[in-house]
Amino acid sequence: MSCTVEIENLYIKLSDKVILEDINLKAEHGDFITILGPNGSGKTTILKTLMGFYKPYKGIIKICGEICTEKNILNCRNKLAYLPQNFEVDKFFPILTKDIIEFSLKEKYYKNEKALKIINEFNIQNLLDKPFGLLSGGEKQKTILAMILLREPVILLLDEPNLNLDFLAYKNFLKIVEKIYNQKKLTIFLITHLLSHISDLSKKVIVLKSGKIVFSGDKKEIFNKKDYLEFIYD
Amino acid sequence: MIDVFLFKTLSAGILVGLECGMIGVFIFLLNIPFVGVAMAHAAMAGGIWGIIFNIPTKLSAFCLSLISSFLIGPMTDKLKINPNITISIIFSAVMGFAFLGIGILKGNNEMVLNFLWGNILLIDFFDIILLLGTLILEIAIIVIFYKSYLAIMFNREIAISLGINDKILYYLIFFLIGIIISINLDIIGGLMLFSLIITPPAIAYHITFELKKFFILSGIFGAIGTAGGIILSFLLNLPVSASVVLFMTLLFIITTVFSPKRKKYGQS
Repeated sequence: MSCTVEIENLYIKLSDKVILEDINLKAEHGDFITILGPNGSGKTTILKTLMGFYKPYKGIIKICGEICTEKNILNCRNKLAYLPQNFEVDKFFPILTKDIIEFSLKEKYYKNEKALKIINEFNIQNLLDKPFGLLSGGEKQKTILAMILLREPVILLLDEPNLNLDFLAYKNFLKIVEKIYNQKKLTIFLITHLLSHISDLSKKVIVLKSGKIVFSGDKKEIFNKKDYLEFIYD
Repeated sequence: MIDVFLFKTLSAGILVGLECGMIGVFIFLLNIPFVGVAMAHAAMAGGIWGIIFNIPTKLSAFCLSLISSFLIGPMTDKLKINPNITISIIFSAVMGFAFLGIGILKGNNEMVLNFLWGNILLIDFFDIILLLGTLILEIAIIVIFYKSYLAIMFNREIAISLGINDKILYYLIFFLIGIIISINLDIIGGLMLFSLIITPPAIAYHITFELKKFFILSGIFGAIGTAGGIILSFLLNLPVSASVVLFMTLLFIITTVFSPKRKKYGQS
């Protein structure tokens, strides 16, 4: 299924404060876009607005050609999979890893071929009967990613997946994402505030500052800028 | 005669323990322990104003408790604040109403005390039917929406992204809490109610990692605690509410000390 994401003239206001201002972007099907920017620049707000968590004050969002409104938000959400920044729970929280996988299923995981396949691919068989709260940060992230991918989205939104991982765990996570990208040709939006965390497969970069897009283009262009670090983080 | 009386009280106690224990799972995992206190006081205020306006107190208590339960969810969402803050605001407001009513009533405090302590010994057949009805409603809601509630309690953002209508289910839980608290309030009173919705899930939390078992164990511990407390009070001629609360606390201490979860996975 070919699907574009279009954001036109988007403004988001939260408690009378403008969080995003005049955002325009278009992602073609199969784009791997990295959204860069310092803390508080509005990166997460873009993804949450795509998910319909925030209502635009002005502007429109089109997913696969369909304008997303309150009425058809479930339709739009069905095409997206969102990996939030934070899904930490108390380590004694009563939920097993297999319960998480089954969020995306109508039946038990072992009765579903797709689930068995993805469990195998992600190598999380030995985690299924373990309490989710006791998994490592990387294992938790893999589990949530496997669960949201079971919904067969066309667009994957990754909200700072590096936050709860050390560098090695993040690199492993990125390998999985790159494998999925190559296999399924999804459109991916990945948020990070670290340049070293950009995937090699991500050709397009967007830089946000104080709620505005200050750069949108090829990754090479930004690295060719003389003071690119200062440009992004000043 | 005593056997029939004890049987009736025990049956009611077991039903109360089961339904409070199970609803307590939501209260425990959503981290809103004071919802019980706020709604109990809303019911108390409703009861007091029922006397003033000559309306059946059960009905007025039920209505005000339900109104409060309807307000908590939408207020929390609209104001984007922690539900405990909304609960505290409602608690303060209904306390104000209750004390205003007490001032107007001037001295008729018997009913007020009844709302605090309840009287499970005076339970009648109609109360048992009501308890049974709410228990069936509660189990039905848990069974039908089990997976959705698990997702909401785990992470509301993930639940929304999965297409779960979190708002309706979130409000439904407050509504169910309101019904259970107002039905139970003049049977067991606010103080015992608070213990019955918090302690059983706190006990079950020490035992299982599975939500299904968590609901079942919390209900069972609620029933065991209530039944054990009632039997103790009959044997030792003690006040029922105090016996139940203390017996439940004893169960909590025992499970904390011998918790298989804590033993295996540590304290922190």
